[in-house]
Amino acid sequence: MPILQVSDLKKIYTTRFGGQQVQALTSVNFAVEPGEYVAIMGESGSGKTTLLNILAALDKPTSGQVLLDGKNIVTIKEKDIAAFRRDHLGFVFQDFNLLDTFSIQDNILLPLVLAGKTYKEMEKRLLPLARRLGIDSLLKKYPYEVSGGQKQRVAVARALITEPRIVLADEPTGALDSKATDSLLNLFDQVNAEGQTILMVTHSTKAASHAKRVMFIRDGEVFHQIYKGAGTTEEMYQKISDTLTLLAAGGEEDA
Amino acid sequence: MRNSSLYPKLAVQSIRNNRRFYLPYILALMGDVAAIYIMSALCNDPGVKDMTPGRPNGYMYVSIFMSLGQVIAYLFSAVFVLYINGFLMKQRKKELGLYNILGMGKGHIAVVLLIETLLIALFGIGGGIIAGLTLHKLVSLILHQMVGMPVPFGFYISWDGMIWTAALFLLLLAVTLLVNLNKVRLSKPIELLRGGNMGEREPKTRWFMTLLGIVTLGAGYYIAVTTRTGVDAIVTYFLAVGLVILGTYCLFTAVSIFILKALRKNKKFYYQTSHFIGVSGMLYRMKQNAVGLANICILCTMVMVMLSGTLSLYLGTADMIDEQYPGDINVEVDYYPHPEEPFDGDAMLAVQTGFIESQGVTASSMGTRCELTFGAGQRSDGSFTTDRFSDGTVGAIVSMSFITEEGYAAVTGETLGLAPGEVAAYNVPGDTLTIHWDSQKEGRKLGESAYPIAKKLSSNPCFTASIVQMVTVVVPDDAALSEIYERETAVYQENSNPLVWHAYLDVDCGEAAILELEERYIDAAGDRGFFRNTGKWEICKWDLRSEGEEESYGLAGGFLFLGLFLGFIFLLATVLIIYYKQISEGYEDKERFEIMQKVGLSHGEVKRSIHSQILMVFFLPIVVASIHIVFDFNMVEKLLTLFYIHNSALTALCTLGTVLVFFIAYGIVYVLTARTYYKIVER
Repeated sequence: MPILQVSDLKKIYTTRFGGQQVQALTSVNFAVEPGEYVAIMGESGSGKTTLLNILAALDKPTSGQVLLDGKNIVTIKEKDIAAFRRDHLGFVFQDFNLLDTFSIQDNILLPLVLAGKTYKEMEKRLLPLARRLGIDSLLKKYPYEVSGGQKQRVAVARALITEPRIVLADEPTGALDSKATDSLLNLFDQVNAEGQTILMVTHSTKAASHAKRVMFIRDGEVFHQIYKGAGTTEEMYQKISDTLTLLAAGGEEDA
Repeated sequence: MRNSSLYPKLAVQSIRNNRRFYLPYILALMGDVAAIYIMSALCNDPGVKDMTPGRPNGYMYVSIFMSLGQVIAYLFSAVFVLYINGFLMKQRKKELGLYNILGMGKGHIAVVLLIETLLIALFGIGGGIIAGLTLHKLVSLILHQMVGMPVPFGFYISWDGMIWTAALFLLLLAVTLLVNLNKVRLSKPIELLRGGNMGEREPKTRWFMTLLGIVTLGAGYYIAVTTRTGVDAIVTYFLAVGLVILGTYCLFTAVSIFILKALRKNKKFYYQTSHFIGVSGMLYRMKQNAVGLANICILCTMVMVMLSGTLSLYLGTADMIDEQYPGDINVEVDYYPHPEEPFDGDAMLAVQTGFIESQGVTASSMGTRCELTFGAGQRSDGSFTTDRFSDGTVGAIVSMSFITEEGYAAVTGETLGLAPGEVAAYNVPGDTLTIHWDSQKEGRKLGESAYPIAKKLSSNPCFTASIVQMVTVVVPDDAALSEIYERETAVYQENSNPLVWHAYLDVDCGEAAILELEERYIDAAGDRGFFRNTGKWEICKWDLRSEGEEESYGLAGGFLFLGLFLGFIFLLATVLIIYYKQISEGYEDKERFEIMQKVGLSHGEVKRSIHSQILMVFFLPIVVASIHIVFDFNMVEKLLTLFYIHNSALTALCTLGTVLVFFIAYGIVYVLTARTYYKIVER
């Protein structure tokens, strides 16, 4: 059974002063299997962000359903959504979204504290995870004292500490330099190899080339997808580039 | 210049767009200007001066207080306007940076700022003057009620006051403009653009400041609580206030952080949802707001002390007058015992009532008493010495009054039944009253007297106008009083005080008639033979209750009025600081809570958490201020004794009332400003 099943997702925005309607998602269908590493690519305005917001339960679709482990997250009551998000989903954002009032350690522990876990339990999870991500020496520091790449690792740690069913990453390399990008993508590979399901939205061909599957979204629909299969990351990179060129040229390839 | 109309347009637009910041600023400016204009107009109102030529009265005090209050109010306004201006500029950095990047030179920005300042001046000062002109009459009427100040007909405009007020505030705004221009000149556009978005450092624990705060606050409180007399209070008051102000700043800046960090160290406590966000949030809030909160706290304390003190004074005046004037007229005769022609009180009373009756007015005596008062030093063993400056007595000078039992009964209506040699005493420790008759001159010692105290009096039966501690002793009869007089004279010799005889007369005519009566009395008393058979005495004078009332209410009312006025200005400042704090908190919290919501904090939890933190931040100052007031109470009480107010219960009630009213006002301000905060955070 897929971990995430999205069927016929539609989202229509109505502009503030009525009248004008904008169709962000026309009809999106896809499934993510456990342990998969999926990248979603698309131009600005293609509906990527809308899709991610709906998957993250930050926004409601106009119609359609999103099943996480067979449970429709669209119908979760407003008051339960925060708890649901924190228990089942992990988030990594482009601009890290670390709180400057907390130390690195407290930033990572934040979701557990919100979930009401005991400090003992927090300690048990924190150290092994920090070691795995290579940030165990930073725990006592504050966000303003560490580099962008380190911040993003902290954000990954925060996403993973709740042992989520799926990690949703929104342009995770967007604010990083090339070295930090490489390092983060390798980290994602490693985490994925350990069995973590990842869904990433990105503009970056390089980031997407690390995924096992890349979906292209255009005009609110999944337009095309590429599988890595047994191929290397370099081959994947090439395939993505070709597809993007084709898309830019306005090709009418079948999905 | 082709686009010369662009700058005014930009200036108007930016004030309009930033009205959330500028409107309260301009309104507060108006309030300040109006208050200061009214103060200066009250100082100079010629109509009032003409109506009260030469006589000391309520208006005289009002005039003095207002000219003093004006200076305080203006200095305070200056600090306050600069503070708010700093805040406004911080908020607008981004906008100005954008102008600069879009191609406006710094010179052009300066022009925009100049026009903005002129607009603010136009509305703030102009509006303030108009408000001042309108409210001046109303304030005069209130003063009339409070201090009996006469209100002239017509509408008085103080051109001097207007020009001065406007000029001073223009100067103030010019200074803010210079400050702002300097800021723009020194800044790089990219910094302007980034504005307040600097990295946040964790506040450090400052041991020295923490310790200093605890010590100064403790010392200030200690001084306030242990002050024993009004005179001591004058000396120590400013020391105590200084210590408490310093302590308050340290408390908010260092002690708070020390406590929060200690809480954070406690892992079990810290890692719970509500504590986790609360403690770390407060840590940063305290770092950024400590000084602002300390300011609010000190302002609140000042307003409350001023209002409760002046209110107690005003309300206590009625009691004081009753105490001082048992009847409409106090007749006071100073005399020395004379062997051949002793002063005869009964004859004097007969002369006085006889004169009044002869004028067609009924007079009735409310009693007479005779007293002897002299200064003494109190030794550490509780005994008294007439050598006030001998060892161990400095600083414990008392005023001792002696009255006879007959006089006591006349004033209080109670009989004591003292045996010869016994006394009743007010404010004397121990069972025996001991007086050492020591002279300052060459250290002569003239023996001592000891009287067993038969009864301790809980209230002072003898109204004596004294700013030092008062001791009152009731002796059985005139003989005992004479004995004490003899001993006093032996010590003080030519400097000895006379005995004072008081008669309290009630008359059945109105205030104006009493004044007339007094004039006719002065005429008549000039005649030889008017005081036939009254014996030898030094001075005989009338003291009218109505005059005492006018003077006392003038003083107390003047103080209360000043308290209300300065209280108004301070409150205005407090409100504005709270408001701007809420806004700046709001912008900072917005981002923080967005992140928390993304990571899994529900909307309700966010709201609850914000609410408790904001509540804590804004009610902390007033809670600390209330604690200050509690400790300060003793001192205010002692200071009030300088104005002959001894009613602790009334003072306590006034203080409690002021604190309550202030809490309510503060609460209302909080609720109103919190709405703006939520709008920002939840948008």
